Amino acid sequence: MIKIRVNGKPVAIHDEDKTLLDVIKEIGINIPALCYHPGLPARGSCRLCVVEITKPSWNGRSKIVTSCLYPCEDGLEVLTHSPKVIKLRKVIIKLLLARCSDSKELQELALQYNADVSRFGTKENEKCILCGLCTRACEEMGIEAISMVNRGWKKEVAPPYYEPPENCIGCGACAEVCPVGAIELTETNGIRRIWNREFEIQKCVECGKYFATVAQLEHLHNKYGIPLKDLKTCPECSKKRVGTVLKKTFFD
Amino acid sequence: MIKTIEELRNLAADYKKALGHEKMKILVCAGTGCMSSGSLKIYEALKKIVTEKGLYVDIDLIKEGKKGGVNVSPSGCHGFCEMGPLVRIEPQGYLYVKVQEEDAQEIVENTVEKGEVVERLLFKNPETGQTYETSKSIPFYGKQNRLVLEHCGTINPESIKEYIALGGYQTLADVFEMSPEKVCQTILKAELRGRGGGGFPAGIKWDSVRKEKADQKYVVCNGDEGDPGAFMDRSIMEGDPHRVIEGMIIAGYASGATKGYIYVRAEYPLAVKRLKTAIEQAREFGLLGKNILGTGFDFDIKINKGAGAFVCGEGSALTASIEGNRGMPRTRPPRTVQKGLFQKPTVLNNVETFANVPLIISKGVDWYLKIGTKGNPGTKAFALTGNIVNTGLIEVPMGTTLREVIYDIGGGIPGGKKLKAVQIGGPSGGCLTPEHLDLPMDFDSLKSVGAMIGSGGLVVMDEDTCMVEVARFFMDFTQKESCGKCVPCREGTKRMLEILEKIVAGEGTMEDIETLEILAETVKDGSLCGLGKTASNPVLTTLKYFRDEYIAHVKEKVCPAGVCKAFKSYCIDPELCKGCGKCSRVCPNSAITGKIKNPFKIDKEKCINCGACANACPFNAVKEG
Repeated sequence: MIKIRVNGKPVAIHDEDKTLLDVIKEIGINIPALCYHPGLPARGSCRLCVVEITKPSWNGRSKIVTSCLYPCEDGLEVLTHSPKVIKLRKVIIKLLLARCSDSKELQELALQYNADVSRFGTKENEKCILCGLCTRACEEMGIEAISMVNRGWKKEVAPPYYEPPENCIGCGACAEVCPVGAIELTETNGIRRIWNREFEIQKCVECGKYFATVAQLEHLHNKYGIPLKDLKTCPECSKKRVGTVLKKTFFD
Repeated sequence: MIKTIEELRNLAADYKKALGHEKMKILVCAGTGCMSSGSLKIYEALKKIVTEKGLYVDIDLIKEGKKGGVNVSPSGCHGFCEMGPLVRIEPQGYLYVKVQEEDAQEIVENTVEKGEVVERLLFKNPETGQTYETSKSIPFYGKQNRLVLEHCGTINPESIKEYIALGGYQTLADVFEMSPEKVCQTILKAELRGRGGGGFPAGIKWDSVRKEKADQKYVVCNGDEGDPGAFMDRSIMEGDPHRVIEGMIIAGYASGATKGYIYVRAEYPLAVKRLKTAIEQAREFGLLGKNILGTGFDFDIKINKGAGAFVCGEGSALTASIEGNRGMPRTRPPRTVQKGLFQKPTVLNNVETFANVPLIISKGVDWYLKIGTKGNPGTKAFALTGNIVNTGLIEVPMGTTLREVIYDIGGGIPGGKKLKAVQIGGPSGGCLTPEHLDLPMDFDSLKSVGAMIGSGGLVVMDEDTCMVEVARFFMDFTQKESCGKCVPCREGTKRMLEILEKIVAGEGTMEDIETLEILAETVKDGSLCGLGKTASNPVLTTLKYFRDEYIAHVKEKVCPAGVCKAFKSYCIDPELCKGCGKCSRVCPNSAITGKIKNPFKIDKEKCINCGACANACPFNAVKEG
């Protein structure tokens, strides 16, 4: 068992693989973490989840670390809202807002942290904050249709050669995880549009609801060998069907 | 193939005997600088003439009993780059500077045949007119302590035999008779600190990797020297590649690693070539590969060429790049010693650090600790560039003052100008001022004034340098080189650059300076890796020591050094103008008009303040202001 203190309050941790952010969230402290998603590997790039840590043995020295990646070490004293942390978070919010001035999510954060952006000259009307959640989600799906291209200020998320990505399956995981709604995904009449490509959406053979792109189902079929016909039912109807079978077997 | 430690020792003794048997040795600098000035042609010419005269002797061929002859050999960088191409004559120690191909005949006839010095090729102090026969007598060399660079310029870097003859790989033989733990302890006791910039004790790294349990461990040599104006590591790799390899093998033995990687910039083709040759030779001699010297220890080295991203000099970005991924840093922990290259425990040191290792083990910890300052033992190589008389590669004990480096070794500032600042450590370092002239240069003292040794680039700047422009230059560099992963570095450096551009354009406000400071602190505290954490240093130190210059740009709208174009304006003095029209012809923006033989006029709206007219006017009629 690991014992740490968060903002002076002792916390006991049983799972040693937990990061500081996991613990901070669990005890109900809210800190922003835009590039974090519980289902994806942490990256530490937005730097908003920074906290100040120290240990009694450090002779008064402290460190600023990203809580999404920092492991829980016994004896750590964590400050989630120290003056140093607040100051840093505030400037980072300002920097992000200067880049994406129309983002509602960032405007809300700016309000919370009293961050006024006026000093940073030109405002850009970017949507993407380059947190990399979309590229990580795509990678985890085993597709890698999009990735980060270029570096520094010119960095952006794009498919290879900025062309409609051939290997994209239109699953929409990228748009789903985007914390600022920067990835455009539209659906009309059974057609999904994303990354300049159009995907046919499968209608559930039972309830008739559109639920996943055909390409996505084919990907599942190819990857896990599930027969295509079994994939044409939406998740809810599938559950219902299983439920019915179970009920018949055990109760009827 | 050498099979045992004893065999290696015997071989070294043989080579040593052969080495001293030539009558004379002519060493032609074949470092990148001298080579680009045509030193290889000089080498070919010298070799041809010496051979024609029947004097040439190959060191390989000298056996017992056969003495005499002249050997001509290319060598690594001699360091005195300002005066290249350089030719050194041993054992006399004569140093010929700015040698041309045509001088070869004279060198052979006078020096080789008659034993006389060619006076006109000797180094002459431009101020006193004094000439120096030997390199040792020149203050540039006399004040240095070349230990790591001892072979740079004195041996043929493409000959493993010469390296072995001078005691090379003997340390490795000694190391194999020690336990890995003892080797780590020796490096720890010698307090060897990483020469790549951070100054982290190498012994701690080695010992941590040694203690890690893993099926595979790695040794990685960082040769991705990306700082503008730095060329220490390049010179070592070019001039003494075997020393780096020996250091790496020792690190491998001490830490339990069996594979090594050298990450070199592809912009260093000569270093890559020499390292490749050296690795092949070491393999042939059985010093790399399986069961080295019959000890059962396996170690081999691979070269990885970097594609020129500055961030790849950062440890975790470098390992990512070797793995074939994008060169982007990651957050620690886990540290490189736990999960480095391919997620395995890795010893990662830079070229100069590895080059120190054979020296420490062969000469002993006590000897090493006597050089340098307390807590910062040993020497440091610096690349001396900028407004300095003797540009070049130098090596001095840690703790040598800036004054000794700039005035005694560097020969001071050219043109009798005053020293304004020294940028140390490249874009990650800070500016030092004349008040720091007596500051001992070592890791801790430099850190205390907001600078860092970095890899060792020293850019000297005279009074005509605008410090705001210097800060802008470095910010432009880091901004372009930021990998873009984390927000403070990606967005922060861009915003800082915007502000600095505004200030040098004469549009800055006092509020901008304040914002610049806040941003600098954020980028420093909030960035993910070393590139971002140190990117603010040039801004922070110039703001600290030259704040008045920033204020002059903002409030008085002047650039005190007269560099920033925005504050310049030109006009033509009608009294002096003879109406020749030269100014009008050179003006790139057609801003000057007039009739021939009548005074010309500059249209201020069109003028871009380039100063071309002022340079072109034969009558000094174009005035600034």
